[in-house]
Amino acid sequence: MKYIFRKHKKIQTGAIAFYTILIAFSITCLYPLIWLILNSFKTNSELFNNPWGITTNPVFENYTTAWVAGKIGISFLNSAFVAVSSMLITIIIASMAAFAITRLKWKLSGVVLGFFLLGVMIPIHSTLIPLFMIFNKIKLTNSYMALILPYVAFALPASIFILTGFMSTIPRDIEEAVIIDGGSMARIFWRIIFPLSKSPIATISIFNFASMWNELMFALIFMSDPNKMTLPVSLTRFKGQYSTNWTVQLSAIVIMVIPSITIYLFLSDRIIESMTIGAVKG
Amino acid sequence: MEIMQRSKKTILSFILPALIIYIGIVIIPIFNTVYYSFFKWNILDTLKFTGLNNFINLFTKDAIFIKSMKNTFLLMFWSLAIQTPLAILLAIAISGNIKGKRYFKTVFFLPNILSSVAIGLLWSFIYNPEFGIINRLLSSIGLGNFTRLWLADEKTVMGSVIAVICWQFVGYHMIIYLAAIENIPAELKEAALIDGVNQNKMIGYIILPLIRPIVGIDMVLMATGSLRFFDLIYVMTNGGPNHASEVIASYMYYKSFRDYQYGYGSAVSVVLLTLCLVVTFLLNKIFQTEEIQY
Repeated sequence: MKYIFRKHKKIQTGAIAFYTILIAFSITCLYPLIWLILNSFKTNSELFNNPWGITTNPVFENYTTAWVAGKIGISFLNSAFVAVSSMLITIIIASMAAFAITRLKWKLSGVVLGFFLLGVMIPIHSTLIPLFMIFNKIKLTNSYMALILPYVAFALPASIFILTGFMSTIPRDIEEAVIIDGGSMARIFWRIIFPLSKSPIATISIFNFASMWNELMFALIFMSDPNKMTLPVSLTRFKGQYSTNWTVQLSAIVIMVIPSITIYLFLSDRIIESMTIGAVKG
Repeated sequence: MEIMQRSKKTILSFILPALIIYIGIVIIPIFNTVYYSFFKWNILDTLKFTGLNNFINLFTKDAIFIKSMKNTFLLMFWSLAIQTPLAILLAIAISGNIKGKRYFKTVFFLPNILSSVAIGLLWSFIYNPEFGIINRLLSSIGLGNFTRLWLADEKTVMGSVIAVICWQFVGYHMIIYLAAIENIPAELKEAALIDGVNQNKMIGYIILPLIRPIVGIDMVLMATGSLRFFDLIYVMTNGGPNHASEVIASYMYYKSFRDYQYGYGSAVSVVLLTLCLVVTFLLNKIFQTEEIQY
């Protein structure tokens, strides 16, 4: 009896320690974000005097300053436009390529797939200087295309990988039925294969959008006009511009992360799955 | 049917858009970069062929480049050494039916959906020597001696950046391991339990050997990711102070787009590309994945 009691107690302290560690770790993940949001409503002196507490009279002006004077609003729209268009173009041309590779019959399809997959290993850094030269020459810098093109190009390898994996599992007889009815290959693609691939398309939309929304390096080099900058670049400039106005900087960071966090709250399972699928299936 | 699927016109119309963008934006520029790396090329000068000079200078005369190589490998080493075991432990901890599993999973992964720029700026505030909460916390618990100028001190800057990298990415790797652990057939674990295998042995003899191939894939991801690392460094330290946190990618940016030495910058990015390929190849060799038979 005594033995059982001791053993039980041991398990309980074990469980308490186990949960304490996990909860402590989850607080480490969450606290910086909570700190960020709470302090973005303070004045500078409040932040300096008391970086821990909650403010009693929140300053919403920090947000209007960042949004309007700091051009975070314009950048927000730029980012949204670039990320959404890059994502849509990627979806369409990656699905078309995956369709050609898996559903059409040609000798080089395997080689072409391998060629696309090579791209996963290539760092964007090794294309920066030549792209910068070419874009400068054809006056593409400071236009949205300067970002959309590279975002699409570097999104293709992983997207085609996911899509070919799915499309090769769709039964072959589906095409036959359409062709007997006199349909073309384009019809097969748009009416059947593309709609059937909803699930992998959702997956690639999520992970591509996340990386396009957050991308810094291309955006830093190809966009120097403050009216064309995307959010990540704007934020880094902000640091210099409002270097002494800390809480305005904090609210600019909040503006950048709030959309991501909001979407994540609703779709967390789907987002986690999409963003890790490349590694899990690799 | 066959004829339609073999029609050259159909095939080209589906594959060409992707192929043209991919070749034009990814493949051709790589060859250009390699080509430029053999030239001395500043913003004012025209191209002057100098053979391997850029590479010789990089490895023999350029102390900052050597420093940035060292920092890159330091960053890679500590990313692997801290994140791999931590991610595996967390994954094991929340695998199975524990209470609050969804909460832990969602919260641990959360930093991965945020932009590195936002995270870098946020942590610069947290490390701020005047009002940052790390120094305030240390002072308030009587460890005032340990307060530092975290990002402005050459001794602490790399450690401070690596801590943020781990904070951001450990949840990502945890999810990968969690998926691998949950793919292990339940019968296997049940059989082991019936045979009286305890928790530690279960981890050592069943879970770890079975997730080994995933650990290999994940380490390749982490290693190549570390080699390319740029965003957080650019935002938090810009390679400073005094190049103490310079990494290969930030140095490439600095040489090409601050110093306008395009030939030299190209040579740096050729080194980076080569390292990515070599590291991928080596780690793949080490973890040569044999199909797992359950």
